[in-house]
Amino acid sequence: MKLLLGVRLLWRDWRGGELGLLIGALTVAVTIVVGIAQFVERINGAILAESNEFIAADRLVRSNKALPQQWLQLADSYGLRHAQVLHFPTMVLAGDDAMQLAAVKAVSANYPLLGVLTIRSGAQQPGEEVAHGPPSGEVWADPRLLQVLGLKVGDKLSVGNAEFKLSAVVTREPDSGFSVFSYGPRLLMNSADIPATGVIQPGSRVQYNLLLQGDARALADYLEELQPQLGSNQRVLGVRDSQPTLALALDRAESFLLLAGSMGVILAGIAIAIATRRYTERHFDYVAILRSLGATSTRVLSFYLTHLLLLSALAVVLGCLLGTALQSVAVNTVSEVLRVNLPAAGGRPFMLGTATAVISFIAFALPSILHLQRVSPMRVLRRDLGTPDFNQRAIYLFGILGLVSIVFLYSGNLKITLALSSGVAGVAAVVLLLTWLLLKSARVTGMQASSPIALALAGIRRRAAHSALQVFVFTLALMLLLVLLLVRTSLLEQWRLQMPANTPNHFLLNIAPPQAEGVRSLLADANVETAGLFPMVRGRISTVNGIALGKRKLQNAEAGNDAGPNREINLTWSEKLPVDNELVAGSWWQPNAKQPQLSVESGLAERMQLSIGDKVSFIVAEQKLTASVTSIRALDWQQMRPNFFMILSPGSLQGYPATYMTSFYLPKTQSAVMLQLLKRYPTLGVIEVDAVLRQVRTIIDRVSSAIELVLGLILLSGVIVLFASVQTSMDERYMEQAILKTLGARSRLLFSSLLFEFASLGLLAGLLAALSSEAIVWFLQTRVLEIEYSVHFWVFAVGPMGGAVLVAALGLMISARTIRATPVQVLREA
Amino acid sequence: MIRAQHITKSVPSYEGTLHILQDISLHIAAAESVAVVGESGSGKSTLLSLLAGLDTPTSGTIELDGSGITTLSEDQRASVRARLVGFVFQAFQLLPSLTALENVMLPAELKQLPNARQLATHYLERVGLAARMRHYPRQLSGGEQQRVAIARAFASDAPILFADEPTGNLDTKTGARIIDLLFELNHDADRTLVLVTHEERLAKRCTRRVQLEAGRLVSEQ
Repeated sequence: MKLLLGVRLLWRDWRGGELGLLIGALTVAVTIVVGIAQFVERINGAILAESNEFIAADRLVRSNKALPQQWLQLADSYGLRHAQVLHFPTMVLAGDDAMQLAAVKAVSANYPLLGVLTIRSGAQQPGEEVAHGPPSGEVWADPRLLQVLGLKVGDKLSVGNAEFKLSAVVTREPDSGFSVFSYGPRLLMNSADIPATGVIQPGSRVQYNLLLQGDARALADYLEELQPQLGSNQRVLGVRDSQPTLALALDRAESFLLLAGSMGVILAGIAIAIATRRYTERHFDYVAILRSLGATSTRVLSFYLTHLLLLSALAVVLGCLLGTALQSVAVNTVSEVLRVNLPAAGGRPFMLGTATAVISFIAFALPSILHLQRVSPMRVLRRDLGTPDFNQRAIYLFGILGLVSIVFLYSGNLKITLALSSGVAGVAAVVLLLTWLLLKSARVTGMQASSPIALALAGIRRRAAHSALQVFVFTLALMLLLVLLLVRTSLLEQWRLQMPANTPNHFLLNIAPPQAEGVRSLLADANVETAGLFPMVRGRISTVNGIALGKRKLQNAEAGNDAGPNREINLTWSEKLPVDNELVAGSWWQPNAKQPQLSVESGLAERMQLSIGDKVSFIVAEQKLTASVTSIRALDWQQMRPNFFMILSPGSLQGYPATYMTSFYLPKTQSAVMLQLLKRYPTLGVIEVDAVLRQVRTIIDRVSSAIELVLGLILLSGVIVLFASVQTSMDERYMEQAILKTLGARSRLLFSSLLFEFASLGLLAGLLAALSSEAIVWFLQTRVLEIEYSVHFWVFAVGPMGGAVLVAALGLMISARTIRATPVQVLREA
Repeated sequence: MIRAQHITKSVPSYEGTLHILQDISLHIAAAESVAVVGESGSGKSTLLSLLAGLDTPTSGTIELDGSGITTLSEDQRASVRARLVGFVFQAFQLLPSLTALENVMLPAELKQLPNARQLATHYLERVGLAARMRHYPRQLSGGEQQRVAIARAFASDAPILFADEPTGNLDTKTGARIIDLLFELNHDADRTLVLVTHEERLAKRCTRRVQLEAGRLVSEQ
């Protein structure tokens, strides 16, 4: 019966038009969460799927031994698709005397599991996309191999004991960047032909890859079962391992999208708080009448709880529908740009939407509603009585707690939650202080209706508490928008800088000392700028502090790429600390040290548990060399420059067999230079990373478009919150304006005073927003996204000005109707 | 029906304690109609709020229908109001989002009376608003709104009716009609009526008048 009356009252309230704003705000909250969560989930899925083409699979198991047959059977039993890829370097012969070291990639029938290869059947033929490797008896090769060996499509070439027909040139492989042995031009063959060649012998350097693709759950289960069987040189890799640049870009994009979503949630929370507050205030009289008629406080509370629960349920349903619609519009727009098919979203966004409604209800609506039961029935006799004092602190505390839990629920990231929540709390503290100062400052007498500025200032001070709340809301909305804008700009700028147009796209290896000068001058004559020639000596780490590597207990013993402790490692020496390297411990070479000194990359030092003073012994060309660790370096792997895990002091490697390496950018138009180099020095190893760079760029471009789109959505919700907040403040101004008009104030005065009032509130909010957003951006960039931070001075101009303009424009837009209306109309409505 | 003994009401103010009512004792019998008169600020509305249990006195006791209400909590007093008290206010106090019929039904609904709708319809017909039951307060004139309020007060089926300046917001002619209606209904329903007014016409219709001056009861006629 009680519930029934609650429902009836709600229905009557609804019909009376009292609930519009509240249901609107709750629905907007759920819509934003559901919409953005779905969008982010689908975009993330698409980006990940796209990135996985980088390894031509979802996951990959890499091994230096042949893959056991039972691993393949196990993959079959999990319903996974799989393929095998072998990488090894070998000499390719053509005609009587032409030969070239090539990077062979032998693929099984299913290759590639994801993505496509582009091949041409002749130099002038158009590219053709295929989703398989060469058939048995045929090979496909890099155009460069054809040039060096003087071959054309259709010719024969030999690998070991077997002869093959060169049936196509391959110009693009999905997983081109994923091989350690990419020395020399690519030769693609069918793995069934390997036995006939006889090139793989015990002790041959071969990398075996097992490509896997299938249902995420099944894949995870399979890998879990496989994990204990993996040896020290066998590891599972995903796209993130293959491309540190891309991995970082994806991580940052994900963080950004989570951040953006969290902001959407905060904005929605604010909208709910505003709407509930307005709803509550408008219901004081309502409750007073109910109470005078004999309704107890429990009764009143139960009415309103029923109201809000029903409203929340309605908002969840509406929000889920609208969010899905919004998201599908966004997806339709973006899939044009992204040129990808987005996977469907799961149930998580809907759960998040529901959770948001429940938490918002408790954190933002309940405290205000609890106040309603304290409305005194005396209000029916005297309206100035019986207004319960809002316990501001409790409301802010509740709100902030709610906010923290929603943002955490949404982002699952403690740092983002911490940054945003402390930003919001900081703003709340400053605004409370301002309110206190406003209230303390002597209240001016009268409305100061002589000039618009005086009238506006008097208004702000008279309504100090209200003005403060508005500044708080404006600040939050502007702050969140600024944070998003700043982070996005830094992120895109960072990506742009990371991948400039002249990023090195070629690595030259195996340059023998007598060839070094020739290579250097050939490149210089062609105006090709290099990163310099780096000496390189291959060695194997044998002991650390006299203890054999195998005896040391290490975390992630197999971690690390070709610098793993059991593998051969490229050593170099250098006079100076290389560009982009940063010392994080110890110091650069001591001039008079008797022993060789060693500088170790920080990641490897951590994995091998090396610290300053440790003695590391290497076996180089069958001889033992011992060096003390004197420094640890951090270096930026994202730069396409030769980087070394271990650098020795100059002279330490004197007398050991060294080769040189370098990297440079060579535009397509200068590909003749490479041919010239290879013709003159056939033993050079070349790694071409053009395709990799192109793919990384494509993905980053797509991620950027997604980020822009989400930013747009959040900007829109920010404006909605500002709008709601301005609208709320109109209630109070309504009556005041009617009275001023009745007393003869001209529209122009009212207009100017409103303009000034809103502009000053917006200016203050913009200033606070600029300050707080800088603080948050500093934290996010340095602690979460790991991007360099520098102060954005323009924000301190744009923030306040933008705030003033935006808030004033919204204020005038909303109040235009009141200003134009006659006093009678306004008085009647008020 | 109503018994007030030595009630005072004081509130703190900037100039020290403000004594709104001082030592007022009053007994109102069932079915009696009493007018509380006095100048603005004499404490009439405060006295009414105390007698109706909307507020509590600083000292003294008040009984409604034999049970003391001064020591009750706000919620307990709300239950007493629901059972015993009906109101007519100067500012009508209708809920804007409810129609005339729904406003009148509300007290009966709060009491969970099964015949709320019939009661409400009956009293709306009695006040001459049968044709305007589906109208919202904003669609009604002041006099019509006060008639809805009167219908609501009677539909609550409460034995005591409090009216605070019921004609204060109305013109003379409309006010006169409202007074007629109030007394006519009260006569039929046999309720105890306490009304606060400074209108002589209204006071004359009551069986008794009590005069307040600066918070003290100065005469009873």
